[in-house]
Amino acid sequence: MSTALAIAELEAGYEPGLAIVRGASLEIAAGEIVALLGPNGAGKSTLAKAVAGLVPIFSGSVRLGEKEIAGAQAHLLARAGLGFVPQTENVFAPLTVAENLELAAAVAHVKAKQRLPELYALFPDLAKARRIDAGRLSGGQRQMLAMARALVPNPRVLILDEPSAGLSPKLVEHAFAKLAEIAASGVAVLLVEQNVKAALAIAARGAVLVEGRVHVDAPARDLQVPGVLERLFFPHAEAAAP
Amino acid sequence: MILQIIADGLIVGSTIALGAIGLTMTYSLLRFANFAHGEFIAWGAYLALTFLGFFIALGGGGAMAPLGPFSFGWQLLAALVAGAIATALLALVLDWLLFDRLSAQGSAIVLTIASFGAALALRNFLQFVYGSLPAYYTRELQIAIHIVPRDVGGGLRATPDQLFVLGLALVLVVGLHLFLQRTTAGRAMRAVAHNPALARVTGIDVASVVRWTWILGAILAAVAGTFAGLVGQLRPQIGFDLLLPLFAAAILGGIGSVPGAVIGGLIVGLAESAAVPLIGAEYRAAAAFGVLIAILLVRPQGLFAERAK
Repeated sequence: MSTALAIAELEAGYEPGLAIVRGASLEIAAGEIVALLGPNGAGKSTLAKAVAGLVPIFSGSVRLGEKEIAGAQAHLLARAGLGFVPQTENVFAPLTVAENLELAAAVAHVKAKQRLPELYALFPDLAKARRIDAGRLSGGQRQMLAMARALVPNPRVLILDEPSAGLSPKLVEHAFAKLAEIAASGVAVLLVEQNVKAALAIAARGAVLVEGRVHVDAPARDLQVPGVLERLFFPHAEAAAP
Repeated sequence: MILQIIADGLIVGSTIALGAIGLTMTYSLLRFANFAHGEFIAWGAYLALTFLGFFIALGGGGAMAPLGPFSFGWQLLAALVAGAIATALLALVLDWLLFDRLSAQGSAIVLTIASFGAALALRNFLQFVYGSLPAYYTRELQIAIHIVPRDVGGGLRATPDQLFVLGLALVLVVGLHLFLQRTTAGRAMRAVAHNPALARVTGIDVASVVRWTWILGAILAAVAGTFAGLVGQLRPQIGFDLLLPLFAAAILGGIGSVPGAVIGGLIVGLAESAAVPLIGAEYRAAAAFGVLIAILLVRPQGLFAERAK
């Protein structure tokens, strides 16, 4: 499978000289789901936002297919095929469901009449709610809309920042089943998650980020062994133990 | 009497509403209160005066031939358009020179104080260029026509120019509403106002949307200034005097809400109009203060705040 997203030695952060992501490297192939895991404060969300163009990159490389995109503006990345779903406030609440999707289609120069029925088929709940303001949707529906919005321009890579946050276990299962469907269509998915169990259940690989660096990049089944992740998340605790 | 108060209030309110729309749009996208917005109103009015002279000269000079029952000819309509375009350019230059640079490193309070300074500079430069004496687009006398006879609610009279101002303001507000609701550019503006970061990852060029917001706000301000000059007189303080009613209207409607700014503008206009027979014409401007204080005490988030979010 071809590499859809390649991150190499990435350093990024909100303030100059204060890197939160410190030399992270990761590759994702087309159609693959990679779960980005790690303890709180490891820099998972910052890494996702840096790749999406929302956080300044200090050094390193990010390639979307063959194209170097490190430091590119977020709106150009979205149009170039990199979809990003933020953790919170990930829909335009004052716009209806249809307006959210039509706007994404218009700015990406995608034919809404052709693309929206495909997305409504993938997310039938959205079809029923298309005339409702996004701000009135339930948490699960919002997450579906956020994914659908990011999928409108047919992205090659989809990055999701904690899509399970605030959802019930049943809704998480539903949302992740949709993600598996999306990946099966050839989209590379980078799933930033705290819900390790659910993420590894659908991911091919898991990358563990500790203190801004990818500490381990291994097949998901290897990380599902009890006790492995705890050791990887807190390597210093193990070293300090008597 | 009551009908006349309502009609006068709506005419004044329509001008306030047009100005308040620009103010609230700038606030919702750029997150600062732009005190220089009043000067866009004044510059729009005076630039239209300059273009009016140009178009009259272009037509061979002499007096402006009025269009139908109005006091003005086609030259003022052309000057209104040209003045609005020139005001939009002025707003873009001010953004490029000041606000864009400061927003990259400053907070909302820095931008607000900068807008104070810009307002002072723009007002004084306007006075330097045009002088402080009142000016007029036309010296044609207009006779108010009876629209409702005196025995119905005290009657209602208005000049054709006042009806033109009310009608065109209504057309612009409806047009703006359709633009924001139906067009991609309008929806992009609403999206950026709601969540700029999400707008960026959706593929929206936020910088371009901000530029269009300045352009739209300045055009509406210029039209408001020209209307104020048409039904009254041109003075360098015309924008400064409207600033308080603009803020009262924007806050009353709920900062960030365009429909709120329109309703707020009309309410402030009606309050000003009702203040004349109740407390005297000299205290008319105090009505906007009264409305502003009442809103801040009773409903500080404004009437349409939920929609604004």
